[in-house]
Amino acid sequence: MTRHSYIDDGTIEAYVLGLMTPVEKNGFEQLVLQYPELQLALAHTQHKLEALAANEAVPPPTGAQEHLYEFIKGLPALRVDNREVPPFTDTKQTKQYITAEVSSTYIRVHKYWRLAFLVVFILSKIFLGFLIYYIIRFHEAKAEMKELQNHRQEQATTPVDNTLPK
Amino acid sequence: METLITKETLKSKLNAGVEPAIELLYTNYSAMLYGYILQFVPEQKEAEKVLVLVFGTLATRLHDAFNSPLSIYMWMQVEARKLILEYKKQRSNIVAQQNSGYNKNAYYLTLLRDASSEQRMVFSEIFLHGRSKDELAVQLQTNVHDISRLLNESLLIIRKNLQ
Repeated sequence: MTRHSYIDDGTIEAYVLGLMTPVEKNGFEQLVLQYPELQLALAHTQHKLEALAANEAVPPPTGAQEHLYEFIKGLPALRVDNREVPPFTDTKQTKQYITAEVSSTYIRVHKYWRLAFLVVFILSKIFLGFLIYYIIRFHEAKAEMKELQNHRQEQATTPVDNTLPK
Repeated sequence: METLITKETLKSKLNAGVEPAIELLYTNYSAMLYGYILQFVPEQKEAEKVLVLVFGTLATRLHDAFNSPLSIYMWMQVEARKLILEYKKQRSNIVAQQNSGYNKNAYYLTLLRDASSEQRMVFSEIFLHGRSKDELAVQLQTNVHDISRLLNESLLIIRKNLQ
């Protein structure tokens, strides 16, 4: 089979639609590297399929992009290989891990924090209850003391009847 | 038509971080890919999940696009098909129920309007449902060579109708 027959026999379509086996795919990619006319035919077919996809485009639901960013933030690490000098890797290593930039105002925390927050919340309510109880008791005690003091003062100012009963 | 992204543009975005690169791809290609996904998964909620899965998964593998002879969009579309078929396989019960019957979103099948029912069926089963040639040969009680021939004929009809 010649490279010209690849152009006309549906091989390019099988490649761009992802219908080739890995072996066929590798063989075809080698040929594309060698033959500019095959590259041109491939570019032509891709252009037609891209135009078709653009023609049949359907705007995705509005929430999809937000879901995508949540999905990406959930990924353990995002890789890029195209950095020319990986700063924190040795010379043999071509891949590096980078920190994803976060533009959202939300933070994600482990679900155990929910339990911790609940415990802190309940304890704070219990302590608040105790605080209110003791403040009330304190005021009651204070009022009682004032009453006693008044009573004693009253007793002190009242003239004592020194006459003994006969 | 959406702006097509060159590999150089994507590389420069990727140098700034994965999120700006994904944002660029999403802005330009999400509608095209969503329309493509609806061919395989017609139910919109499921298709949305698949769209997120596709962009999210490809975010970790963007460097592969630079080594491919395909354009950025076509590389994404080819990779998306693999992910969609895998998703359908994992959720076969749900997706099979939704897929029963005619799918008006399957625009690739409109390229086969002048094909025979056999050619259309073989293309549809292999391309949209990820069936292997061997499986189809057993189901249709024929041989793999016949399935390959029918698939090749359908690809030639697509080629002709794309011109």
